[in-house]
Amino acid sequence: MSVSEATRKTAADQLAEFIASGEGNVTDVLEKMKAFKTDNGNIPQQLRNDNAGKYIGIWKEDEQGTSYIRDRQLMPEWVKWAGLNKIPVSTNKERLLLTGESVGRGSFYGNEYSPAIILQHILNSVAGHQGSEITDLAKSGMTPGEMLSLLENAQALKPSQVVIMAGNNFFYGLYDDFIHGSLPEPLAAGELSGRRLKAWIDEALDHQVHVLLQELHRMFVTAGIPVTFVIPAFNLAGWKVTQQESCTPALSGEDLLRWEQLLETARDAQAQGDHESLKKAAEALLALDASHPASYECLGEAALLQHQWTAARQYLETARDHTLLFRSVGKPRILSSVRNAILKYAPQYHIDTIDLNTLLAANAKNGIPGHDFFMDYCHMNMKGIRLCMVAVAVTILHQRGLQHISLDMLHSYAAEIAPPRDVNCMAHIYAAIHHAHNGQGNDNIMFHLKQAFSFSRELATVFCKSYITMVTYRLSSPLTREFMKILENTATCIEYYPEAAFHPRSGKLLDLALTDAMSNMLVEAGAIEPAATAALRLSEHAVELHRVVDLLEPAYSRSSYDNYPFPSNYYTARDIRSSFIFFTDARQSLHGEMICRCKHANNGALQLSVNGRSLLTQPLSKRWIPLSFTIDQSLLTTGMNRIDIIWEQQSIDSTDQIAENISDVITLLNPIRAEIHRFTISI
Amino acid sequence: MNILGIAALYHDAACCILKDGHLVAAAQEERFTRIKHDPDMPYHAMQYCLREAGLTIADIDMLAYYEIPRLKLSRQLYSGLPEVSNEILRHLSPDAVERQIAEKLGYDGPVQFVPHHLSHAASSFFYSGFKESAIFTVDGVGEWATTTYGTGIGKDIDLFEEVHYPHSIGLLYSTITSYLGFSVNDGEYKVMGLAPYGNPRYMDCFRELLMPGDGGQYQLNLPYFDFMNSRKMYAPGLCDLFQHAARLPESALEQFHKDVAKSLQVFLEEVLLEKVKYLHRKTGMENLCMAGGVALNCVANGRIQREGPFRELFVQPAANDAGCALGAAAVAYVTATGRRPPEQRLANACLGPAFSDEEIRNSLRGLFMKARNFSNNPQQLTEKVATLLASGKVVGWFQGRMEFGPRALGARSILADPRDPDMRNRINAMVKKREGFRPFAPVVLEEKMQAHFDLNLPSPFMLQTCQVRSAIDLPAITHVDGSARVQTVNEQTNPALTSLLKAFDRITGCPILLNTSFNVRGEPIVCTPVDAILCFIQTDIDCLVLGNYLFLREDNNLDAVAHIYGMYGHQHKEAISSQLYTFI
Ligand SMILES: [Fe+2]
Repeated sequence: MSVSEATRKTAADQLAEFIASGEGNVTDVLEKMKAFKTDNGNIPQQLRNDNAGKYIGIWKEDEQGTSYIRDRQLMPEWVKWAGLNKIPVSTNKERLLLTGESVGRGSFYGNEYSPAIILQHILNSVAGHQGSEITDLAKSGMTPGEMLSLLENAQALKPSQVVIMAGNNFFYGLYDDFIHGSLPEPLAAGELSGRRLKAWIDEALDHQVHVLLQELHRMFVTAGIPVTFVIPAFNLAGWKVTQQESCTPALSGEDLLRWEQLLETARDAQAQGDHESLKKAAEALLALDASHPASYECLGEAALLQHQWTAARQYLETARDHTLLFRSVGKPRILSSVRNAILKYAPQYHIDTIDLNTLLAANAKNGIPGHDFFMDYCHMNMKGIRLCMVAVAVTILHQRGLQHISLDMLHSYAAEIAPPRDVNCMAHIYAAIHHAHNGQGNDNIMFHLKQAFSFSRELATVFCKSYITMVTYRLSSPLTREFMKILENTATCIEYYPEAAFHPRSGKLLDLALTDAMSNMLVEAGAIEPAATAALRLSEHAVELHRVVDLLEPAYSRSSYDNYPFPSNYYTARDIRSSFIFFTDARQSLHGEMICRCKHANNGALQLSVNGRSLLTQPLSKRWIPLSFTIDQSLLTTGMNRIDIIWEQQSIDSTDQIAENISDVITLLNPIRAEIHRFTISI
Repeated sequence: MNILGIAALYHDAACCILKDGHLVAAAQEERFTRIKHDPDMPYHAMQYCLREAGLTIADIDMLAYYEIPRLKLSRQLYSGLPEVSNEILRHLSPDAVERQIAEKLGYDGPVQFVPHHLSHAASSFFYSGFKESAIFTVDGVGEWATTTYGTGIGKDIDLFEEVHYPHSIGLLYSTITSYLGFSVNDGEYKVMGLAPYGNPRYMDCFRELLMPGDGGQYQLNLPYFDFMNSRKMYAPGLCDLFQHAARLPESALEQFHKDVAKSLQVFLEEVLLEKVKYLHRKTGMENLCMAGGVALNCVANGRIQREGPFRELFVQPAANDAGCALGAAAVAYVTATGRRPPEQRLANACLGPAFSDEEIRNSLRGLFMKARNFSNNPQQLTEKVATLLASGKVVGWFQGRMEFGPRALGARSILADPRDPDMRNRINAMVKKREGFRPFAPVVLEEKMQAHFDLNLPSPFMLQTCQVRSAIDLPAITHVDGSARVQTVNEQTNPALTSLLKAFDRITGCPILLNTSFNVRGEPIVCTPVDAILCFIQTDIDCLVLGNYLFLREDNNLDAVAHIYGMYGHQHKEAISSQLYTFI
């Protein structure tokens, strides 16, 4: 070993000692670490980059360089893209590139009905116009970064115009760098608020939009290729704030109690249509935490009750803007900050914009778009897609110098294409499933199921019967007999929404709200007996059958996939309430065991009740403690049973903690109320 | 006294549990998460171990971790960090391990950090049944040590000499693996399998790459290596030395590659034999315990057993880092109690979850496939499966507790007739979709091993190779040099497979089966009945035996499901790490 090597070893050891001692701050350590940077500055180009020019999304350039062919190696990715097999490099028509997120793909209708298809049809129908070739490069889940590298390569297709439909997903880009980013200065827990976090988020999103538009300008506008940016809209009237998004805020002691009472008051008032009490409670909630979407939603609901449409709209938009504060995984949606940034920067970079927010408001009842235009939070139904594509067509034709076009004519062209009844039926069933999986309540689920049954009662009946059985099995859905039936019945088009069956591994839900709604529809249609679904659940899940049931399994502890975005291995309660279900024939008493702790709170206690009847109260400890209890037969009901736990709290142990980065901020704003390492019910 | 042993955050995370010194359960995290070589803190493996032991996290007295984070940090710093940032620093902090133990496992009790090579050494010695033994550990790198020499006597292990990073024979092997176009940590086995096709023409090059030193020492000729920069393993000089560019992954294998593989293998064996002789001189002991990734090189182990100075060799089935969980836990037990863990030799590598017929039935309720139920007559199932095997069928075999360590040892195996000359190609095509040059391993009835293989002692863990000397022609399991990687089984350690071998022997006169791991290429070995079903669907295996249930491909039409799994089955894998990008 050379002398310098020995020296390096000693130095490394000393530095490790220094880091381990925790005495130096980060800057000191970074300074000391400079010595350890290696000289090999040249990072070899990664293979992927060398090949970058040869791919456009899932399409790979062929050997002759004349076409891009869908790459079989990327087959699992195909579902996210249009169903094109081949994209020729050159075309004799004017080529329009359409790209963006799932909103540009036309979700739930498969490849039979998409924005690109409608736009193509409209443009090709315009008389005296030579027509267009629309290349659909939209992808479900596309991020701004992906879109830029896609477009960089897609320049090879020599487009004459580019249309972008995006903005809903931009928020997800923050999960990479933003949440690991340092704060300008460390802040004490007491100085943090959701409002402050939102300001940082808005700033980051503004920057992201700026970079994107700058790049679009560089790639296309400077080359004389017009770019149109379609800003998506949100289902303001229909899509509700979820349970996870309205998770208990970082309050403690009396404030927490007050919060709980106010929220209950607000919910009651809303149910009774009492707008005055609702408004009062919501305002009081806001005073406790100005960043909570549920409070704004309550204000919006109160305004709706009073027919104050403008105010309602504003509150509902504010509620939407406060949902994506990392309380839940949430679903994509356009935030005001993104929309405003696009509108602000687009003129600077000579990019045309179409603001669907404004467009839909102008066409919606009371100016608040809902189920009349949407299939879910942001994906549009046929009516929405038509309206939107007519607006895009107008802009495209203007860019081509055609000024005088009859709007009515364009609308009638757009209406010429409609998916068959079966496709419409399944689109609404899949929308219902999507609503349920993402924490939406019975009203939304029923709306879509009813639509589905109205399009094809027969298909909806067959599918729902299979679906109920499929999800009720503990077995992974795609391995069930019922999935085979769905698969063999081509009318179900399961490939349009494979998520209906392909759930996360070890993450299967029981879909209670959904299958209850489906059951009700089927009972009404005379297709099943009223008690059938409950009986099936019992026969599959009874504690007596399995002897021991793990209540922490998603099927028994979760009702949707709308979870906290930074999951923990074991059960972590951030809300002060937890609920679990189990199934029993109720012929004997059952035994419960739970290992839980309350690491971050002082003087906590848990109150556990079974089917609404209090069973036990137990002080909580900062260390794991085992809790063992008997559920007397008299407390049990045959079929589904419910365990509710309230984590009684007091004060949160974080006041002296310091946040150094955004991730710390998120953790401190979403305190853990309790944790459960194991929870079983056994015979 | 309940102790959890943990290996994690490098590759192949694993957990085991010692209940009053008895090894109750051990498993690798990858089997549960289905992410091959999953290095994450082994939460799922831990939950399984706790369940198996009838304990909860609140019952654990001590957690033993398989390395010293602070020492590893200094080696990482020495290696030269590619980029230094606040975030990296957070991960590098020696506290990061403790933080992850607390956050990801939820464990909040005392932790004992055990040096990496001591963990390796203990994972072999304390489970060897030897009262005393010399100990030899060889891997890529632990904290600083890459090779250690020591002794174990009773409860005491003394590692008296170490070779330090960057000098590492394990890293030499991995570097050549990478140079030959195979992936590091995974492809070493392929290089070993390729070697018999080559000639040792490049011994001089290897002597240039690694220079022996005094005692147990040796040095790598560092300018030929680049692993310090963690971008690729070899430096351009290595290509110059062999006068060949590196092989691109998946490209054709030429004679040159085979010759390099052979030279490497012979060179490794020579170095190891020389060091083993040194260790014998130094300790004068009769037994040898080996551990570390290099101890998975069963060809070298075979030579050490045959040609080395030690009377008996013990290699633990999880000689790689996963096995360190066992060693760390044993060391913590000794520290806490002053006693050695109970002394019998580890007889069985099947330390993972088992599923009763009732559990299999309950977990597969609603399954679209037809199965034949032999719960009332297991012997009939054995006869049936033996007949199927004899008729050339390939069988997925799922019985009892899952194996610990990288090898399938008859609990989660694919079995076939070793006499069929076409069997190797068939299995490669239907399941493994891998390089066809490697033969499969045989499993043989222990009582008949000597009639077919040049073996003096049983080989329950498939950790050494020997010559085939059978009167039966066994093309599917015999390597080009006449060797085979044998596993022996008996009634005590694997009754189900033993009965099957006996039945197969009765029908065919051959007490040997081809045995390969039950998994699809790129995925971990199956763990649960559902994993086995999924593997069955996605391959072309003819039959699946799950406990006492028999699934035949001919009874089931699997094409549509196999296709749709190919399209969408991978999406839910992403969904584990993040549900953010599903259907946005
Ligand atoms: Fe190791």
